[in-house]
Amino acid sequence: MNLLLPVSARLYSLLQRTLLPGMSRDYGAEAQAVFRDLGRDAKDAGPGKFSAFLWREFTSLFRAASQDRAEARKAGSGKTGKGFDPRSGKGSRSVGPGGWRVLLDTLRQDVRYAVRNLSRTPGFVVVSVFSLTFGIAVSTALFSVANAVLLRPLPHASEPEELVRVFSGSRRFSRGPLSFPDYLDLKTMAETLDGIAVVSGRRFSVGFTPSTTRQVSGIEVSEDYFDVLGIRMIRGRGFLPEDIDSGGRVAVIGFNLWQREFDGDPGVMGASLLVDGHSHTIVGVGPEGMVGVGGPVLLELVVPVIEHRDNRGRQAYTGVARLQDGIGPLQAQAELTTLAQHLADEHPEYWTRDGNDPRDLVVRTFREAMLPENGAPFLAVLGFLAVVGLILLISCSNVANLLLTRAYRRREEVAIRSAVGAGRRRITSQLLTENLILFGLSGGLGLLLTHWIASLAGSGWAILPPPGAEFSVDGRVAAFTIGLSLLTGLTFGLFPALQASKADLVSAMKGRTRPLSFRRFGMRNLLVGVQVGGSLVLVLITLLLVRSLTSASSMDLGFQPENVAVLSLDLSHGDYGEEDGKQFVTGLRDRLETLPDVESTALATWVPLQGGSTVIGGLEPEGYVPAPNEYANAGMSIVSPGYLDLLGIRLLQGRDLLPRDRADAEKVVLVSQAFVRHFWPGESGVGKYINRGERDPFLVVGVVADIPFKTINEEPEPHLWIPFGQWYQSDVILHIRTTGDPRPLLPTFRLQVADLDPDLPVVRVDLMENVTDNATDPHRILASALGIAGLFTLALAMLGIYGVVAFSVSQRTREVGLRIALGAAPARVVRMVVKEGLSLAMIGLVPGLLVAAAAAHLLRVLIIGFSPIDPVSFTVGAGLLLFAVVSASVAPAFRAARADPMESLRAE
Amino acid sequence: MTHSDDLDRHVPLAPHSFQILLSLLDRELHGYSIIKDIETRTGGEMVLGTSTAYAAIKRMVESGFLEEASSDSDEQSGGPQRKVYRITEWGRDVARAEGLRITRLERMVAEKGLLDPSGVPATGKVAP
Repeated sequence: MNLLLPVSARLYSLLQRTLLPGMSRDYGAEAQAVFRDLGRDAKDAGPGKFSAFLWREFTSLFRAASQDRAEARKAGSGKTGKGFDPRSGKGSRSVGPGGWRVLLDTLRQDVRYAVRNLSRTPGFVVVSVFSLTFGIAVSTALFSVANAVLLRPLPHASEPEELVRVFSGSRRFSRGPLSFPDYLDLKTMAETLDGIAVVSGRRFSVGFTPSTTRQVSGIEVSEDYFDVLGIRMIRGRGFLPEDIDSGGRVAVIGFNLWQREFDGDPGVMGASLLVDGHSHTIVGVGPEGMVGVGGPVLLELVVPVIEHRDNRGRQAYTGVARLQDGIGPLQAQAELTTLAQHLADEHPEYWTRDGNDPRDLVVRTFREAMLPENGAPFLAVLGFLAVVGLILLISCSNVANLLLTRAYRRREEVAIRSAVGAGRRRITSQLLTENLILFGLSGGLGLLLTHWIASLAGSGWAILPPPGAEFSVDGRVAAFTIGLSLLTGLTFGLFPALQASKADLVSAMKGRTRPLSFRRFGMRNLLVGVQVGGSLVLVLITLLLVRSLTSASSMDLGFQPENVAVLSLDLSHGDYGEEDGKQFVTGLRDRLETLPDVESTALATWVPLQGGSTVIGGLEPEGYVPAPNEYANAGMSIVSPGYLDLLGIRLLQGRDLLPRDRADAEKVVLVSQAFVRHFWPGESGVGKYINRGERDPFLVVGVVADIPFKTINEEPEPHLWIPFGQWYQSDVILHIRTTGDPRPLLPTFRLQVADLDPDLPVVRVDLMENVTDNATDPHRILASALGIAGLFTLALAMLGIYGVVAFSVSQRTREVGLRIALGAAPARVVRMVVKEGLSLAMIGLVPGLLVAAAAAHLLRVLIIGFSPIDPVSFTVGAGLLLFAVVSASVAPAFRAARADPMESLRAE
Repeated sequence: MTHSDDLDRHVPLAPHSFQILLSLLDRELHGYSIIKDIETRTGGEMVLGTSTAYAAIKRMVESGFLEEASSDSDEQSGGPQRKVYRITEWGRDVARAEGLRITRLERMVAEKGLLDPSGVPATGKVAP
C-alpha cells in the first residue's frame, strides 16, 4: 500500500502525458498534484476507498482521452475536410505530429485487435504466460541473488568501488584473519589506504532481561567501521573513539531490530540493550537492509571490539579498507606486502610460519572476495550467467513453439487478410504486438513473483538463501526484468510472426496444407532440440550442484556437532579468580550432568569453524631445526578432559588429557597430525617436548586427528590442545552433549547458571551447529539457488516437450486414423509416436551433453568432492530427460490410438 | 450572433461542468477543492476524476467561462504552484442559462406528475 500511491501517480502522469497531451501541457503538473492529494485522502479512508479512487481516476483518464480524441477528429475534419482515416491506415507518412498520430493510431488498433484475439484463446494465453512468467521470475530471482552477492555487495557504502578486503594469508590459505594489533599497525602505516577497519561476524544474544534473549546476526567492528565504509545511520550516530575510552558498551542496531523491539521509536538512542549479557547503550540505527561485508546477511546488531584489543595472537578479524584516490588494488597489494615483511620483522612469532610460505597481507576486491579462491572468478560468473540464459531460453522456446503452432493454425485468417490487401509488414507488426503483449504481461507477473520470492527469503521461509539474507528487488533488478521481457518478446515473437505472415493464400484457401510431421517442420525441430539440449544442460548442472552440496554437508568434519549445545560464560565478569573460576565450572558441570537428558559435558575456549583462531607463537619443537627466519607457531585450543570424546574427535596415538593434568603436574599437550607432519615428519610425536623459551616445556602425550578450524575446505594446520587445568582462561565455552535435540533444554542450562550465580551473565546459549554453520557462505548460496532453479526448469522443459509432441500428434490425426482403419494395432501406433518423440529428443541430446560438460568445467569451483564430468550425474541426467520425453509422448500417443478412425479421417 | 444565441450554443452543459460552475459561483477555488466541494454538495453522488475535472476546466477556460485568479503555492506539500479558478461574467450567464433550462425541465416534470407518489399526472383526471 505504501508503494502503491507513488507508483500509480507515476503511471497516471505517464498515461496523461501520452493520452492527453494538450491537457497535460497546461494542467499536467497541477492535475498530478491533485491526483496525489486525493489519493492520500482515499488511502487514509481505507483500502476500499483507495481502490475506488484508482478505478475512478484511471477510467476518468481514459474517458477524457477518448472524448478529447473525438473532439480533435471533429475539429480536424471540420477544418480541412480531409483528415486521417484511422481505418484505412493511410495518412501522411511524414514525421510530423500527423505521422506520429498515424503510428499511434495503428498501435492502438493493433493492441485492440491483439487483446481481442488473445482473449479468444485463454488456454493458450494461460500456458504461455505461465511458462514465461516462470522463466522471467527464475532468471530475475537468480539475477537478484547475483546482484546481492556479486554486483551490489554493499548497498549502503559510499563509493563501494574504492573498497577492498584485506586478509592475512599464505600461499595455502589466502583468506586468513588479522588480529586487532595488526589492524592498528596497518592503520598507522599503510599510505595507499584512505582508511581501514576490521570486522568479525557472529551471532549475538540480545534482549532486555537475561531470560528473554534471542539470537541475532551481527558484527563486531573497529570503531571506524562506519566511517571507512561511508555508511550513514538513519538515526543517531556510528561509533566514536570516546565510546571505547568509556568502556565501549555501545551498539548500533539494525532497522529490523529497531522496528521489532522498539516499534521504530525515534527516541531509541540512549536506551539500553543486553548484548551477550552486558548492558549496551544504543547510539544509532543502521539503514534498512544493512548487510555485512562477508555476504548478503542482514545485520541486526553492530558493536565495537572492546576485548583482546592488544592480543596479537587472537586472529579473528578481516579487514575492509578504502583505497586512496587514484590507487588501484595492485598498488595497495604492493605496499601491504612490504608492510607484512615489516610485521614479520617486528612480530616474528606471529607473522612467519616457515621460510617457504611466509604469511602475507592479501588485498582482494569485494567481488573477488565473494567468489571461491581457487577458481577464476570471471569464469564462475560466466557460468552463472549462462545458466540464467539457459533457463530463459527454455521458457522462451516453449512459448515460441506455442506461437508457431498458433501461427500455423491461423494461416487461413492471415491469408484472407493479405488477400484483401493487408501488407505483410502490417500483418507482421500486428502479430508482433500480440506476442509483445504476452511477453510484457509475463514480465510484469514475473517481477511480482520475484518480489514475492524475495520477501519470502527475507522472512526466513525459503530454504535456499539463509534466514535473514537480503535479496531485494531494486531498480537494477526491475530494469533487468523489463529489458529481458522486451528483448525476449522481440526475438522470440518476431520469428513466429514472420512465419505466419507469409502464409500461402492458395493452399490456405483450399482448406488444407500439407500435414505437419516432425521431419517437415524444420524450425520447430530446432526449437525442440534447443529445449531438450538446454534442459539436459540444466538438469546435469543441477545434479552436479545438488550432489556437491550434499557431499559438502555430509563431509566428515572429524567431529560431530549434532546434539551438542554450547554455553559461553565470561567468568571475569563475576570477579572469579583462577581457583574460584575452576570451582564454579566444576560445580556447573556437575549440576548439568545430573540432568536427565545430558550425556556429558566438557570445556573449551574455542569452537571449531566459529571463525578465526588463536595462535600460540615462540614454539621450539624438540629436534626441529627451523628454516632461516622461521618462528614456529600453531593454533591452540584449551580444553578439559573428555572434550575429544564428547565431540568424537579421534585420538590417534598416546593418551587423552586426564583430570590429573593439573597446574602442579607436568605441562602436557596433545598435538594435531598436521603438527607432527610439519615438525616431526615420519616420527611419532608422543613423548617429545615442545620448548617455549623460559617457560615450562610441553610434553606431548597424544596425537589427535586434524579437524578444520577456519573453513571446511582448509588445508590442516598445526594445532595444540592444552589442558584447562594447566592453562586457566576466564572466557569458557561449555559443551553439553544431550541424548536428543538440545533445543528444548537451552533455557534449563541458563537457569542452572542463574541458580549458581544469579549475577553472572550468560554470553550465549546455542546449538553447536549454529555456531559452526556456514550456510551464509556466498558460494553456497549461489550453488543452492542454481540447484533449485534447475529443478523447476526441468518441469518447465517437460511441459514444453509435452506441448510439442501433443501438437505434432494432433496434426497427424488423419494419418493415425488411416493406419488404424487399415488395421494397425493401437499398441503399434503408440510405439510409433513414442519413437518419434525419442528421435526428436536425440536432436538435442548430444549437443546438450557437450554443452553440459563445458558448463560443468566452468562451474568446477562450485563442485566439491568429485570430478565435474561425473559419470553418475551424466547418466542420471540423460536418463531423466529421456524419461521426460517418453512420458510426454505417451499421453498423446494413447489419445491418438484410442481415436475413432472415422472421426480422424473426417477431421480434416 | 446575439448574446442569447451564443448562450444557446453552450447549454445544455455537461452535468460535471455545471457542477464546477456552481462550485465557483460564490468563491474562488483550486482544482482539489472543486472536486471535494462537488463531492460534498452532491452527497458523494458525483465524484469527479482528476482528468475529467481538468479536461472540463481546460475547455471552460478556453471558452471563457472561467479564468485563472492567481496562483497559490501549495503549503502542504510545497509542490508546484496551484492555480485558483474564478467564474467570469460570461460563465455566470452560461450557468444561469443552464439553471433556467433545468428549472423549466423541473416544472415540466412536476406538471406531468412524474415524481408524484400516486403516479398520476397533475393535470389528468383523477380516478374515483
